[in-house]
Order: sequence, then C-alpha cells, then structure tokens
Amino acid sequence: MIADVLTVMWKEWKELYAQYRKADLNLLVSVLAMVVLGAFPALQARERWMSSPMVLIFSGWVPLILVSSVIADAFAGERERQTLEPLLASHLSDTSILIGKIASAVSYGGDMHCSCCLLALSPQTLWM
Amino acid sequence: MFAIQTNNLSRHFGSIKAVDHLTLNVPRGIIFGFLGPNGAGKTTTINLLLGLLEPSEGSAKVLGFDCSTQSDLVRKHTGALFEHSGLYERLSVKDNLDFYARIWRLPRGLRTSRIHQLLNHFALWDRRDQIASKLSRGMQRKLALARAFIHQPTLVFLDEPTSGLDPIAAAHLHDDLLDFCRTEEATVFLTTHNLPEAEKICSQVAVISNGRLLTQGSVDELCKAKMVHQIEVIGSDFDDIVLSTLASSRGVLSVKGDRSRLILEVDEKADPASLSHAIISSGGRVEEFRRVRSSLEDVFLDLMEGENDR
Repeated sequence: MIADVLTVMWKEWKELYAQYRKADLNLLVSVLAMVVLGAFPALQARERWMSSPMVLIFSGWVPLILVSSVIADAFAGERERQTLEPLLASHLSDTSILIGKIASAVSYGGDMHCSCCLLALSPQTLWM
Repeated sequence: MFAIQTNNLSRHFGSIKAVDHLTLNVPRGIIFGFLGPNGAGKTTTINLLLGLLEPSEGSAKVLGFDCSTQSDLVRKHTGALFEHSGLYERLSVKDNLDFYARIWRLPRGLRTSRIHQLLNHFALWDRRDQIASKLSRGMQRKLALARAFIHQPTLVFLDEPTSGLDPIAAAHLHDDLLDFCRTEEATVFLTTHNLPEAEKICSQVAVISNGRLLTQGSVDELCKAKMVHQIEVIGSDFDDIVLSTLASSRGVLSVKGDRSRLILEVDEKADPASLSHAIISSGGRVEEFRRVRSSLEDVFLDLMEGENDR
C-alpha cells in the first residue's frame, strides 16, 4: 500500500514539476504568484508583518488554494486526459491512487507555501 | 486450459443489453480477434473481463481467476491497451514506462533493462527523453503498447490498437505486435472492426453484434463455412448469351461483370467444370477461371446482414 502511494506521488510530482523544466509561461506565472503571495504582503506590512494576524491567515489560505486546485486537476485531469482507464486496469487500489494524489497535492502546497514564506521573510530580514 | 472463459456473461445499462449472454472460450497463446461493429459491446466485454465492471448476469474467468471476486489477481496478470492511449503527456517517454514499471513493482535493475528492451523493440529509444505529447500518433500508440507489456503479462487486452493510424503505421504496429507476442508467448485479446487487420494477425476470431456472439472459430474455418462463394472468370466475348447461360446454370446465384471479366456468385451445388464448359459452348473465350476465397470481411458482412434481417 505504502509503495503504491509513493509510486502515485512520484508520478504526480514528476507531472507537477515537469511544467517547470522549461522557462515558459507556467514558470513565469508561478514565480509571479510566489512574489505576489510571498514578498508583496510582507513588503506592504514591513516590520508589522511578523506580529500581524495576517501571517496566520496567509499561512492557511495560500496552501489551501494551491492544494485544492492541484487536487481538482489531479482527478478531473486524469479522466479528461483519458489516463484513468489504464490506471484502474493496473493492480493499483483505488485507495492508494486517492491517497497518493492527495499526499502529493498537499506536499506540493506545502512546498509552494514554504517558498512563499522564505520570500516573505527575506524582506523582513533586510529591515531588522 | 483456456485463457478466457465466459459463461452467459451479460451486462445491462438500464434497458440496453451491452453484453448479452456471451459464452466464449479463448485458448492460451494465440492472438484472438474480437470483432464487431461500433457499439457491439467489445469494450464493455473487456471492462467486464478486467473486473472494472460488474456483470449483470453470468460469470467469467480470466487465467483461472474469477473476474468478479478476484479482479485484483486478474489485473495483476494482464495488461491492457484501451482505445485511447492514455499517456501522461507532460512526462517523457521513459517516465511513462517507468511509472507503470514502478506500479508493477519491478526491481530497479529489471525496470531499467525492461524499459531499454521495450523502447528498443518499438524503435523509441532515441526519443526516450522526449515528452509524450510531442510524439506522433503512431509512436504514442507504440508507447502505449509497450506500457501494456511492461510487466510481461500472460494475457494482454488490446482495444482497437490501430484506430486512427495510417495504413503504414498500422502495418508496422501489426509486425511489432506479432513479433512481440511470439517473443513473450503472451495471449492477446484484440478488439477491432478493422477486418483485414484481424484476418492478417488473428488465429481465431469471434464476432459479436448487439452484445450477442454470432460466431467463433479460426479465420479459415469461418471463410470456408461461408455458404456463398465467388468465381472470377477472365477472358473475352462475354456477351448476353454467355450471361444468360450462366445465370440459368445450376448453383449460380448471380452473374456480374463485363465482356472481359465476370464474377459469379455460386453456392455449393455449382460445378466449376460445367460452368467453364457453358461459357465456351456459348461463344465465350476463357483465359482464367478461379475460385475467389471468401475474406473475413465477406463473412462479417454476411453475419451483419443476417443480424439486420432479424
């Protein structure tokens, strides 16, 4: 079961990060999103950022938005691209596909969130 | 022992009988063609055999495993290629195979060597790092076929493997498939409505329509069993007298053609020697006189015609 979940995660991560292989529009949009979600609010709030309740809200909704959009694509996209049928015809259980997809989306959201936090912290460090 | 055995297998979607009391026996180690027009129930049968759908009635066994209660074991020992290739278009050719090799838990060393072997066999090794969406349709089909064989299954289901391919790509795929089945000693269950394709590569075929099995047997058996045969006559001076003489001869069902070539549709009562004699005695000149072998397409069209008359 764990091996199957890890296999699904491996594929999901490969697919998610395959879009960053080339410096194309996807990469530009992602960098822009990180700047807007990470650096911009921190630059606006300046030294108040570290003690602001906005940090908690920000920490909650950024990963939530990312995870929900990635999960939606993981399931609907699989059906739309007709890759679900061969996957179901393999010996992977439905549970391992589900957990693998959710786990990879959550880890992707966490990854993006960490990147945003680092971007938010860097201006703070400059002002301290 | 049979690779596939179904017993009155049925699947209904509301009032529609997608598969209707299908009883089928597929021997091991052959390429078995499952033929039928669009909507005949071919894909539903594959889904039932793989345990992806529950039968409404009847039962099926694949490699000795029950499709309803042991579907995990069925899927473990089989491979499948569906009508759509279902490749991960953002992943590379190699990663597409690597993912399925990991699903089947091939050890790392075997995984690498198997991917190398398959990509070499299907002439895709040079494109191993290319993303799947950049491949031509024929190459995508080959990659999907390689994926179906990655874990060396005993039985492979191929649903319309050459659909959408040009004749050259389809011919290459046939050769690859035949060659590969010989090497791997796998049983192949192939659905198609491409009859020349089935005639060329299948040892046995079954024809279904509206979910019901119409016939099953080897291609030769089915062609020989066809009641109406054709005789082609090449020559000259085939005028109205020759045509009317032939039309009234014993066993002749119809006469078509022009002054230099005739096609006679005859049944088993016709005697080729007396027909040839009838043409000559009516003033025609015969240069070539041969029985035309019925093709699988003729058999199929006859069956469909009979089905429409029902």
